[in-house]
This record gives sequence, C-alpha cells and structure tokens, in this order.
Amino acid sequence: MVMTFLHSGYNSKISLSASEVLEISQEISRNFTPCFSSGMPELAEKIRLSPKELLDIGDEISRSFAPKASHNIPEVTLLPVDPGHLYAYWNLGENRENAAPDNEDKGPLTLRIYSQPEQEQTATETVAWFDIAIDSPSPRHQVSLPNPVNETAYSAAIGICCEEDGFIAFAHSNIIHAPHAGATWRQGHENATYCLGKNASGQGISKST
Amino acid sequence: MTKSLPRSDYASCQQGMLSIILHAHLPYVRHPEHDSFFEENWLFEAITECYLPLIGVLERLHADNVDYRLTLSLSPTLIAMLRDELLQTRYLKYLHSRLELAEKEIIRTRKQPEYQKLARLYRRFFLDELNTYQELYHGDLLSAFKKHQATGKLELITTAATHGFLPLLNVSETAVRNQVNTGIATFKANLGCAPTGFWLPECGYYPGLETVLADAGIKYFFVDSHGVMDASQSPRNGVYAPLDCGNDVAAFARDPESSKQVWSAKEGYPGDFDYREYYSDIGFDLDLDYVAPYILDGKTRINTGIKYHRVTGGNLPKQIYNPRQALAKAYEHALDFIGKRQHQIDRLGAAMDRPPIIVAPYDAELFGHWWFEGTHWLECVLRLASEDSNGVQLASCSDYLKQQSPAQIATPAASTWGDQGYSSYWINETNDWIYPLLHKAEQEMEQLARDLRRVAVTPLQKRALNQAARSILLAQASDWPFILKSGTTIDYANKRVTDHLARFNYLHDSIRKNRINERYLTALEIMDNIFPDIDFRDYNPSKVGADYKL
Repeated sequence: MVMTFLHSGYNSKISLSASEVLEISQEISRNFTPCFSSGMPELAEKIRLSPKELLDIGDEISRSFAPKASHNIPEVTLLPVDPGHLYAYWNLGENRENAAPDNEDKGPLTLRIYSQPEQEQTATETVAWFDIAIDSPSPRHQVSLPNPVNETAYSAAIGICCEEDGFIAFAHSNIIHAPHAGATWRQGHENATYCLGKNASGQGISKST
Repeated sequence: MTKSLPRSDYASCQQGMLSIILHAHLPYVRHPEHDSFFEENWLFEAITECYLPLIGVLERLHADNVDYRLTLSLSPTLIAMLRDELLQTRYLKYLHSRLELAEKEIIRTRKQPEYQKLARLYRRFFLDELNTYQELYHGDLLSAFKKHQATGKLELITTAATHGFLPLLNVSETAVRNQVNTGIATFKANLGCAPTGFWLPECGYYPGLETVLADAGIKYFFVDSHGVMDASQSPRNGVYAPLDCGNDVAAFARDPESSKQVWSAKEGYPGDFDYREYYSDIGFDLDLDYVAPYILDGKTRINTGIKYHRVTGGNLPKQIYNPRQALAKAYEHALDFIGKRQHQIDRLGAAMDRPPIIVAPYDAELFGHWWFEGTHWLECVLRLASEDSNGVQLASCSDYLKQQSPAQIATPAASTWGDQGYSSYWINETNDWIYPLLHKAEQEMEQLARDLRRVAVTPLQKRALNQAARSILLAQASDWPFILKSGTTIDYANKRVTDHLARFNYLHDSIRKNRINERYLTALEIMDNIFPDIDFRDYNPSKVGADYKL
C-alpha cells in the first residue's frame, strides 16, 4: 500500500509505503525521543539517556546487585519492638556448620537474651539471661520478654549450648532498651485510637489507592 | 476578627490553646524511565484533592482576614516532588484527563439530572484546580505555602529526609542523624528558612532522639499521648502541656480526645452517612470500555476521583451524594469539634496552673482525599476558633513556647502513633526482612565514608558516593514496611526497597573497585534525583558533635 499526502501543503508527489512510514517513524523515535540528563550540579558534561535506556540500566542493576543479607562475619542485632517484645536477626558467618541441625556433637543453635537493670550496669553479677532454642532455618526471631521490666538494658548472643551449661557465643549484639511499659501498655490498648484504625468510610489508611 | 492575646492575658483567663497540625507526606515516587507510572497518581490525587483545596482554604481565610493558626509539616520527599518539573508536567496531563472525563460524564448523565449536577460540579472543581495550579502558582505549590507562612498564621515544619522510621534505624546514630539533617537541609533549601518544629515519622520516638534534634536546631517535636503519659516523670498536666526533654527541646503530645473524633472507626466524623463515599468511584462502577482511557493500562480499574455516592450507612444501596447536605454536616461537625474543645479547656483549666494546649495532629491527606469534606471542616474549625465568642485560641507550638516555657523536665517514653503504639507495624513477619539489608547497607556506606575521610576524591567518585547515600535514604523510607504490612501495593514496595539497595550495592562495588561507569551513574542520578546537596562525608560516624550542628 502506498500513502500520499493528498491534502498536504507540502510536495504532494511524495508517496511513501507503509514500511517507509514505519522506518521513518522508528528513526524519529530513536533520535528524537525526549531524553533526560542528570540535574546534579557536579555534572560537567551531560550524558543524555532515553527512558528505555534508564529502564534497562535500572533493571540490569536490580538483577545483578540484588541485596543479600549475608556477611562473612558472625553478628547478631537486637531491635526494640514494644514493651513485651524484642526482635533479633543474625548471621553465623563461618560458624554455620557448627550450628547445623545435624551436628550431633553440639547443642542446638541458641539465642541468649541478657537483661540488666540500668542502675546496675556496672555490676556484672546482676545480669540475668534466658535462652531461646532456634529450630528454624530463618536467621531472625521475635523475642517475647517473659517479664518486661522497665529501665532494663537488653543484649543478645547467638551461639550453641554445650555440656555442663556451657555456651559458645558466635556473636554478641548491640545493647538496647525495650520501650517503657507504662499504664497505656498495661491497660492492653483496649481504648486506643491510633492512626491506622479505619473509620466507617475506610479513612485512616494512607498512601495507597 | 483577630484575637491574639498578649502574653500577660493568659494567666487571667481560662482560655486554652488548640494546635492543629497537618502532616503532609508521600514517598518519593518518580519514574522517568516510564512514560507514565501508576503510583505517581498518589501525588496527583493528593495535589488535586488535598493540597490545592488546602491552599484554597488558606486563600479564603487570608482574604477574610481570619486570624487562624495552623501548622503544616511538609516532608522532604513531598517538597522535592512538588518542585520536580517532570512531575509537574505529568500532573498537568493528569488534571486535563480528569477534566476530559468530567466533560464526558456531563454528556453521559444528561438524562440523570442529579448525577449531571455532580458531573458539572466535578468539572468546575477540576477547572478551578487547573486555574490555581497553572495560572496562580505556575505549578509551584511550595510558593503558595511560603506566601501563607509569611503572614505568620501558617507555620511550616518538616520531617526526616525520606520519612525513615527512626526507632528501627537507630542501630546507627549516623543513619538517624542523616535522616534528620538531610530533611532539615532540604526544607531550608526549598523554603528559605529553618524549621522550628520537627515531625517524627510515624511519631516514632526513642529516648535520646531529642539530642539529635537539638543538634539540628529543632525546638519541638510531637509524640503520641502515651509518649508523655509514660514519661520518665509523671506529667503534671497530662498531655496538655509540653515536656522539656532536658535540653530545651519540647515534646508535645497528641490529644487522644480530638484525635478520636476524627480517626475513630465508631465516632469519627469522616464516616458520617452524608459524606462522600471514597470507595464508590466511576473507575470501578462504569463499563470498562468507557473508563478505559482513564484507568491503568486501559485494563485495570482504579479510582478516577469522580464519585457520585454518599457513605449512606448500613448495608443499604449507596445513595446519591448531596454536596450541600455534606457541607452543612461538615459545619455541624466543626461546631461539635470546637464545642468539645471548649468543654475540654474548661475542665482542664480548673486543674492546671497554665492554659492547656490541645495538640491535634492529623495526616494531611485525610483532608480532601479520604475525607472529601475534610478541608471544608478544617476551614470551619479555623474560622470558628478565631471568633471571640469561645475560649479556644488557635496557636502553633512555636507560639506556645514563645509564651510559656515547659514547666516540667522529663524524657518521653519510646512510642509511635502506629497500631499498638510502638514499632510492631513496621517490624513484623511481613516486612522484617528489610532491616538486615538496610542496616548492612548503612554500615557499608559508613565504612566507605570512614575510609575516605582524609582522601581527596575525584568529581566522578564524589558523584558516585553521593548517589550511594541517596540510595540508602530512599531505601529507608517508612512507607515501604508500612505498605508491606497493610498489604496494598506490596509488589511495588518490595521492588522499591530491593531496587534502591541494589543501586547502593552497584555503586558501592563500583567505588570500591574504582570502576565507575559514568553512563550508569548518570542513569541513577536521573532516576533518583532527590537531595542534590547531599554530602557522603556526613556518613562518617566520627563526624559527631559540633560537626553535626546545623
């Protein structure tokens, strides 16, 4: 099929096939697509990139540099959740094999939670602890505090229990404080009205449609 | 009309203060790599239904010389998006498409006069919006807020750079400092002044955060009620007077009563049967072919902003929306709100040695977007409170602190305004996987800055390092764990966290190997073009104390 611009004010004798129109269109797209350049002040010579190029670069980076939590060094991190809960995550590093569930020589992987009243932080003999046996392959755990106590510092160690109440720690955590368990917490929040509660029309949920 | 009291008058009357705070925040959503992008509509809907109507309220109050006080927290991500040329252009396109749809609706409803009346109303609404956005403010809504701030009646404050949830970033104090300081720097660069107050993202406070805020020049912040009620010393005035955290930074607590009147599922105003129903939208109600040009990819139904029904109530079929009735109800609710505050002040005034301050903070996007009549309600509240006939005086927290020093020193308790009052909404089985990744990236960024502390870097290396810092901040937004928990647009939230961390990993790898591909770096600068003045050296943890003071 040949198309002619019969009503064009330009040279009406030019006729183009469908493939020619397509080719011209593609060439214009290639060369004249609106391009972005960096707005960063340090940039002296501007590189211009089309949306397609931006997308390709973004996708390639996402594919090749996907985040991974694993470190080579063992570590455990403790986070505060609420007056009754802490949250721990860990990496075992090269101790992974020692902590493998099928290692019969050693006890199970254990998360040890230490608690110490704030006023007594220098008196190490007052440190109390409790153990949580980790039987899941997941390297994270929400810790329920058996008796939440205010003004108490918490820390954790990840390791394995061994004979005669021994404990081999692979890593020790940061020190944190659980949120203060005040009257509000003790009342169990039955009358609480937080911003995330929907009202009858659904308001109160944000940022999404 | 004006009724600003001289300071000495406070002691001699039983008047109390009401401080209304709107927190305006949206995550940074800007995708130049796509011709159009659905989640950018979050901004467009908020501009159309919340920010422009709010500016309309401020304009009318100003024109009528109403002596109101209102505090507006503008998040740095929102500031950056409102200033962004690409998003401004796309917003105009969005607004024109709403206008086109409203015009189509006028034709479609020609045999349904009640519906057509509403369609005409929507057309007028969108035309007014277009006029305000394009003609009055030339696409720059920050200039509108600045104009009203200059009158002294609107106080602008800000929040953390990308609304990072600070209690769970506090594994690194540097991470928290960079969220706070970059947020304040962005505010200063765009609004031309330093904020006095600071909105903690999700009201997430932990003891010690006040030091970071003091170093940044902040005078006050907000916590939820239990943050003050469970403070290190029992608060003598409950939540109706601020606490001094011991370093001249004041903590104001949210008033549970005024909060409940707006948020509560049972008693909240927005659920009134006369108000417009958010969930009844022609994007879902009409034939797919008809709405195709205005929905996602022509196939997936989404909200269009044109809604014809009222809440109605019960399980009854939805009834048609009556704007006049709804506005009258908003006025009634404003009267009720002010009446209850008056009652509260009378009750509190008798027991307190100083005028109580009722602090009423809300998400700005509730007004107009979720609660269509919310901006009208707000206007009525501000007008009513400015009349001399009642004892409620509007004040910002800055006004309060100029007139009254906090009488009590105490440290607030760790708290948030989220479900259950602590951090569990932002760390649970749906979103906990992000924290090891965020903390690891932060550690690596800090190590880079530490390693380079006495090393001169090339301009290209500096760009890559600064871009890595941007990627970290963008990954830290509280919006991503929030969405993962609320279950709304999970895939998008998931992708945003992993994309930003992948971009950080790429840049970190490139910098460490000194093989920076300028083309790739430029692409990342184009896509994540926020915080142009960021300095990677602020990630050096040894840069503490005086170096951090802004």
